[in-house]
Amino acid sequence: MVYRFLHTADIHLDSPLRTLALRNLELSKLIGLATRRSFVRIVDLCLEERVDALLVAGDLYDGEQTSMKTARFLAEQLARLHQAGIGTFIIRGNHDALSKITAELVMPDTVKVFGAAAETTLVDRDACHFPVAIHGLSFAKPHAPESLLRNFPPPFPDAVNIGLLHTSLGGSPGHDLYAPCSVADLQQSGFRYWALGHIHRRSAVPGGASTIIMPGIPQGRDINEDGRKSVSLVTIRDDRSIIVEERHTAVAQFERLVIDISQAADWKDVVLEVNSKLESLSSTVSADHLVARVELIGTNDLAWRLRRDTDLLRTELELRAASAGNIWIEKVVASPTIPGHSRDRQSGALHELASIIDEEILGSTDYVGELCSILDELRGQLPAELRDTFGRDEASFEALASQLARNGASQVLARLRSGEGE
Amino acid sequence: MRINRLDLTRYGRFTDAILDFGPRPVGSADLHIIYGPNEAGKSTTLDAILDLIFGIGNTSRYGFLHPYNTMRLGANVQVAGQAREFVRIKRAQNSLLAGDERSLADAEIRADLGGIDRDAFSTMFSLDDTTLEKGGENILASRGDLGELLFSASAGLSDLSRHLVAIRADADGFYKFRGRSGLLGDLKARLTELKQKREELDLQVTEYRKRLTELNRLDALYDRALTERANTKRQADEINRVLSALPTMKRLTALRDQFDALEIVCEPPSSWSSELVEIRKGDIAVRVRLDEVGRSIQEVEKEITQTVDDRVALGLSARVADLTKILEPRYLTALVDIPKLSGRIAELSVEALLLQLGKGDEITPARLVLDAVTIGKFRALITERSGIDARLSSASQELKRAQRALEDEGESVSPFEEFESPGRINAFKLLAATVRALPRSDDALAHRSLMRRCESMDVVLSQNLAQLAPWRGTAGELAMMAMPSPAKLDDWKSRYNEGRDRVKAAQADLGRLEPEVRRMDVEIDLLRARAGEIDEASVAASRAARETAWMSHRKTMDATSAAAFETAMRADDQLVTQRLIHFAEASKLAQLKLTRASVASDIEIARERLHAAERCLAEVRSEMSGALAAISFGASLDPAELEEWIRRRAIALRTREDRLAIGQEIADIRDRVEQSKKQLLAAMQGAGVAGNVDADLATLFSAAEQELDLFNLAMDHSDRLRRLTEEITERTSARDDAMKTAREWDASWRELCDGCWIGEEQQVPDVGAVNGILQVLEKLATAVEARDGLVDRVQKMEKDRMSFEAAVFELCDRLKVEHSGSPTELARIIAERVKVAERSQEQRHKLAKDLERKRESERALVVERDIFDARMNEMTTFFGCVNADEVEAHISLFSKRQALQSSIVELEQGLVEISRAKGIAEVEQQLALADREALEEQLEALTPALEDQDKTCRDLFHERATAQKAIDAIGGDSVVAEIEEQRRTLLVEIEERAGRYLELRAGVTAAEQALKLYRDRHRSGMMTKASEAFRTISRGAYTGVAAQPSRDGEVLIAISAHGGSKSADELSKGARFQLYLALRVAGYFEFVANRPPIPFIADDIMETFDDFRAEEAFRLFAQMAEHGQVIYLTHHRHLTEIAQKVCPGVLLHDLETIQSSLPVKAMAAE
Repeated sequence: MVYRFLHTADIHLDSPLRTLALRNLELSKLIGLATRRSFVRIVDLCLEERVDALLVAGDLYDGEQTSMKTARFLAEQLARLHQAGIGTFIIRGNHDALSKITAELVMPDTVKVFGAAAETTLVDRDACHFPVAIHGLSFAKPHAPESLLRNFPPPFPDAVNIGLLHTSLGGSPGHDLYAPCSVADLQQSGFRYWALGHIHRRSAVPGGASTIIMPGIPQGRDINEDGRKSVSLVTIRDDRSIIVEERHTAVAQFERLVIDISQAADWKDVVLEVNSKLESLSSTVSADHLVARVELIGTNDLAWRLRRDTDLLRTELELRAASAGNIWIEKVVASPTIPGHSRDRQSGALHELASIIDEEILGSTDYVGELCSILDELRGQLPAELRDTFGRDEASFEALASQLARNGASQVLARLRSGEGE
Repeated sequence: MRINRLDLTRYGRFTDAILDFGPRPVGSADLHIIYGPNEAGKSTTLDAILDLIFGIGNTSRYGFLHPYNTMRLGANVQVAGQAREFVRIKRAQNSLLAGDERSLADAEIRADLGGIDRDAFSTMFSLDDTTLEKGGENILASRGDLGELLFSASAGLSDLSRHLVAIRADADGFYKFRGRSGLLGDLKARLTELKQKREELDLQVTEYRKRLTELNRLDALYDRALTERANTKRQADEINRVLSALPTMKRLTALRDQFDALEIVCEPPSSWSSELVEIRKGDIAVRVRLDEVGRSIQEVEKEITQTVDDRVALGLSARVADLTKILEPRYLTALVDIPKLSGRIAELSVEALLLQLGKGDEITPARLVLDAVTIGKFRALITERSGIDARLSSASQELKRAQRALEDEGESVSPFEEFESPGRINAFKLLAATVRALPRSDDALAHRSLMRRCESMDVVLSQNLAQLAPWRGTAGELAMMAMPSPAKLDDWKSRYNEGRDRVKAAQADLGRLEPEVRRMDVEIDLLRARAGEIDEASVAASRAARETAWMSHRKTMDATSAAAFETAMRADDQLVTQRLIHFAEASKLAQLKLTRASVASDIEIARERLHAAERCLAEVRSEMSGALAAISFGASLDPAELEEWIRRRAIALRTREDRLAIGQEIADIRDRVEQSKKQLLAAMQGAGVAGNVDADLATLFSAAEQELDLFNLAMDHSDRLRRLTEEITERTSARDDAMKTAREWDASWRELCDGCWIGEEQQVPDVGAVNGILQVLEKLATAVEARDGLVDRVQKMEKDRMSFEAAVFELCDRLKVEHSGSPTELARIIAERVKVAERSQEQRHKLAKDLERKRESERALVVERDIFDARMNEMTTFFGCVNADEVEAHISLFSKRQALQSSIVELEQGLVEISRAKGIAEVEQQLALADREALEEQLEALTPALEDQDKTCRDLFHERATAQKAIDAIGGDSVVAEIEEQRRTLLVEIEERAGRYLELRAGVTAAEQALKLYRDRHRSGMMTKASEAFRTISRGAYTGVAAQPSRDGEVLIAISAHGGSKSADELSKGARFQLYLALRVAGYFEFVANRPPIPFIADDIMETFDDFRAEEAFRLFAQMAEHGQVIYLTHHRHLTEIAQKVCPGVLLHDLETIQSSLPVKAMAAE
């Protein structure tokens, strides 16, 4: 008889979405608590598909997550699986390594949380079916600089061995180094399936001695976790071959939409162009809602106006998107430039002012010094959580300063130019 | 921006006036002078341009002629690189319209102005005396940052600082240093609020752990209390059980004794007790019913014997029925109808009809009736006859009419016999065709008119040729003449104009310089006269004489030489003294001489220029006369005249061409007429009509037409005769046909009459007679047929009557009824008999059936009675008794025993259950030992202990439930997660806005710093430009302007040529105005340096300037006009001349001309 399980990781339960789009109350109702809703859908999927088990390869919560409500919610959901006779296998990851809330919870009997020493659970199956052994290891610290692979016991003879491991593999940008190991090491382990976690973007090494799946985060939480997210529905057939299917449980999907507006003739054109791109993007999205960051590039005579009236554009796009029902604008970033021929035509005082800013002001020590003092003043006013947003100190700020100054100058010039044209 | 055309459609004093500035001139300055005396509308024009661009003000003072709602300005303006039509009307909004009256945004016309508003524009670029002065004073009064002021005005960014402040304010909306409000503060407050809310709602792990421990403790306590309470309860229950079993045991013993006392009976089948009752009831009922049935059988048998049986009557019943239903009705009908029918036979009048036919003695009237075929044939022939008669009479009439017509026409010989030959007919037809075919156009008329035009053309041509004087010759020679190409002509023109201009310029220079030389000469002479020979030459001569005298004196050293030396020395001293006395004159003289020499050289140069120009003119003239040797113009030919001559030549040549064309047309017409005449004559000859060859075409036409009329008349007459003859023949044959048909009909008629009795008469009857006979015969046939039918019916009725009577009598005999009474009465008696017999037979049948049924039920009752007897027998045998009562007693005894038995078992079971024993024996044993009183005491002691324990349990349970509830209350709900989400969103928002704040601040700071740099740089450029302009206008009296730092910032000062400096308010009015203008000029150059040009308009701002300064000012305007359009409005004629001198390309517009053309336009419009 086949053995089926659902493999996921990095659920980060109750970790809120990080987007300005949630300021929209309507949207907040639709996609708020997305990590929760997505987890409910994962449990629903287990029940629908009548899987044998749910495997969670670490990072059920964020480390700072200490609300018992979250734990209670988890317990409720796992109880649903328990009632249906579906087992749950959980390891801790770097984020929930120190989590106390799991420890306090009384989990149903069918839930297995692997401890700091490697353990093996032999799945209870009829003698006539192939045996399944699930191995897991939770490292109790948020940092694991070395490979944890050697701590695993040897494969259980004659069984299909499944390993749960939270690992950064060879390392991935944006993710802390954690229990690094190589795909080759995993392939040689003698395990048939490696259920990995930690890296939020999906990757898979199918075939080979061992099928290795990093399922990625099931629900992206900000624009940096954009794109389609999934969990893996794994079937081990009687001939011990493995089929991995991707399933989508995300409530919302973040996407960057970069649009070259060089061809747009007027404002309306831009809106229509963006709108049509949004609609076609929306048709490819697997989640219920598309939350898009629209980035306008290219060269266009409208550049100044777009920079100045980004808010207006955003409102207009939101209005149009609202009619689609599932498209939302996260943010509009307008950074188009004025085409060369227009620039040549644009002589005059402002043009000269612009080149003075560009060539003489932005690099000057006086100017940078003044910027630093503006920032210092603001930093003192920001809430503690944001103190480090604009660099931890003056040195790290300077890198940011040039970008700020360039954008700021463009913004101000755009407004002066439009003021001139009025 | 450039105004190509300004329409003063309805504005101020203007109506439909148009100022056409034309397209921008290429290669020369775009300078326009609008000249108009006072009240001509110069200021109006200036304001109109402002109103066009910026809108007509609310309280415009130009609505005196045209009311506000009709005011209208129009213009063709070059803006943003294209020429566009604009219209401005007076309206609060949407007052700018396009050429097609569509409303436009004001920005469309102001695209090139770079945001300059009306004030700034009128201060800087649209000047009159007032604005020139006021604006200048503003510049001086500001005493602020002069650079900024100039910059603002020139760059059109007067709002720049305001914008920057607005942007900064935008940034400050988020956060401001020491600001009390701001978005950041609000957002932070909301963060704190959310944090508090979360703390209220959330439960952290540590707290949870504490609660869990407490719950566990309470759990243990509760469990212990429960156990203790259960033990006590069990003890009490045990005692209670024993106590409650004791009374039951006593009742059981009593029942057992009762049971043992009862007799033992066999157990009957359980159904017997109920069956017994039923058997006893059923037996009685069966016996009663048997008696009843026996009695009713006897009664029925008696009734059967009493019923009569009449068999004779029954045997006749079929016949009697026949008699009453069929024969009797027929008999009754016959009695009534026979007399009626006999009457109607008598009424039929066959005889009368026969008399009408004249056959009163006819025995068989039926013979006279004709068959349908014969009647049909008669009718057909009768109908046919009338048609034949009509045809015959009409054919005869028409024949007569035709004969009469022929007689009228006259059968005489045709008067037109001569035309009868086919050859002639053909010739006439050809003539007719020719006459039709030839065009009878207005050739003659056209010919006459053309001749007249030709003559007038000749006159015009000779006039045109005369215009070409001094040239003389024919038009042909003129056409052959070679002409210079237009390019060549243009070349001559431009060279000639250039030459002429140069001559004029040189003459003007000479006119200015020569008087000046003369003036100087006079001055020199005067000086000389005043000071004597004090010039350098005479001094040098005297000094030389003295030196020579000294030299000779040194050689000789005698008195003579000494005297000579003394004389020379004295003379020299004299001269030197003279010179010392007249030193000023001397230096002035020297200066004058120098100047005179320089002026003399200028004159020389001017003369040379004049000669060169004149040579150039002569060259052009000689070239022209060389090219046009044939014309022999005078020496003073100028290319404009030549051009005029060439234009006149072209006109003459055109006239000549027209003249030739008309000649050709006349020739064509003549040819056409000749051709027609020839054709017509030929045709006439063929038809034998005489035609004069010399007659004109019209005469020929009328002769031919006359002959053709005659011919046509003859043809018509012969046609008519032929037609009449043919008609007579036709009519005769029609009449003969009709007569033949009449004859055939007569034969048929006779034959038909002979075929029936009608032909029996001697004379064959005519159509009318037969028609009458046929009508009578129709009636006769009906009457005969009716009579035969009636006779037949009377006979049949007689037969019916007799057969009924015979039948009645026979039946009477059979039933032995007396024949007394009518046959119908007898028939009723017979029928009554039969009915009575049938009724009694039916009664007998019914009784027999009834009897059979009763006997059947008697037999069934007997069987039932037997069954009851058998069952009773079974019961008595079972109990060994004799009757039913005994059986009943036995059964009731058995029931009583059984009830007792079951009560005993029930009690035993109850006891076993209460005592929780294994069997009743054990219970009996236990109870036998129990002591009731001791047990009751024990129970009383246990009760309070149990109550205590109960309370403890309840309390613990409550505490535990509370603790559990507290833990359960945590729940898995999402409240906290939602708050966290809101907090996260707030943080993202703060981050986002902080980023934007920083960007804006960075941008504003950069812009402010850049602006400062920009101003510093441009200020110096502006000052240089202003200095240059001021120096030029003041003709060097001032070398420029400078900014000088002062207490309040900077002030503007003028630097004079002598190196002195004056602040602007110390300048004379003229110099101050020059300075103001210089500042505007500098501003204009600064403005147009980097952006599309805009117009510069000035209204007589040079009142305080002398002619030389005015000239310089115009020179500056001309320079400005190289960049953009400059319009100068003035009422000084001489200024227009100065302008023309400085800038030959200047365009003059005379407001008076524009005005005077107005009435014409208005009339045209009306």
